[in-house]
Amino acid sequence: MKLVPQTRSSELTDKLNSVLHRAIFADRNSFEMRALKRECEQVRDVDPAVGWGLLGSYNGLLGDIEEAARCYKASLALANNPIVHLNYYAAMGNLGYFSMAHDYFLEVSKPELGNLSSLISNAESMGSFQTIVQRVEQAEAMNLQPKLQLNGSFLKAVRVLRKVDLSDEFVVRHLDAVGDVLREAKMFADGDMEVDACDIDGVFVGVTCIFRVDGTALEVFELNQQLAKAERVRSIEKHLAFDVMFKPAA
Amino acid sequence: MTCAPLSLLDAAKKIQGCAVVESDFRAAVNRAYYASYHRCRTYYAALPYLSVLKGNGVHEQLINNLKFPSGKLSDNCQERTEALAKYLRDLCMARALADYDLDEEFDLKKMQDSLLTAELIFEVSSTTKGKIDDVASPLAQA
Repeated sequence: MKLVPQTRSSELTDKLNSVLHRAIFADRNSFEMRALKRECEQVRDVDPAVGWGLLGSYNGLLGDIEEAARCYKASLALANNPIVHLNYYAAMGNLGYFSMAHDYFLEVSKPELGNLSSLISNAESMGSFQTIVQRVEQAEAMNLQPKLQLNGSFLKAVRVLRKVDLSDEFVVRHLDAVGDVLREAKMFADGDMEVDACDIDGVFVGVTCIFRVDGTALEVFELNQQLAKAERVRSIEKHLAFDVMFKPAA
Repeated sequence: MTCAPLSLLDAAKKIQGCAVVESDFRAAVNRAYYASYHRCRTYYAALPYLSVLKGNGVHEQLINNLKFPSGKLSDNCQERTEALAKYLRDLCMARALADYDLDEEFDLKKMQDSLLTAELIFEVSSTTKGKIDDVASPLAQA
């Protein structure tokens, strides 16, 4: 699963996605990004709702969450498009604002709003563990959508987090510290966050969220040191049953 | 000491070198964890200030002590110790799955991942005569 913004303007979307896949923030002064901005603005002149949405994604690639949010909100004010909700949500995750993303998910994932199925695969990688299960259960109880499949390791993590009484808010506060480190390095959070869970009473009960990053083992250790520092700066409550860490990409 | 932590890591690597089936993968991870546990115990004992915390058993206690280092340590030492705790905890979980969760697949990648983690733990936790060796930041060197 990748946190890839999706838009209706396919050619422009492909260009934006190719920038995203480089994994580092784009330079707004580069020829490529200035050209992309012009193209987004041209779309906005023809179809404002779509164009503002594209400009939101464009600003997300620059690492500018405030401007991205302004553009996405302008788009949503014109048309309540589930794809723009998804792109906005994905941008928050890509830029490491996980608490903000969780709050947004709480707001827009109510089954009756019709966004749940498009948001759910991203949400699995953004820390809203127990909320996702609640939303799926609500949707099923309301017969609002076909049965949504959640993967096994995700459900195991949910069981463990419930068992040790750790909330989604606790989880996303930890993920926010990951976001701090990645933004400092101008790197996007990889949407392939791995979740390891272990539930063996008397031996080990816990969940680990793992972010894969490029670099040598020592460089990645350095990022984990920076993560420890970010956790201290944020005064994040630590618990033996939960942790986040970086690991080298395969 | 008749068997050093490094010897346990060597044993893990030997098992890894000839690992063919899942039971081999699990055995390698078991040795890699215990090598890392003893290495981290030596590292913790060499810290100039200790935070003696409780835990359910010696393994949890050591992870807790690394995860919550004394505030009297330098910022750099606290961060290194807390980062080390992340690796040891990760390996502890892998070892629990390797030894107890036989119903869930334990593949080659999990073994390789765990061995890399163990090697990294050894690389960043060296001590000489009871004192922690300074490891220059790899990014600062660049």
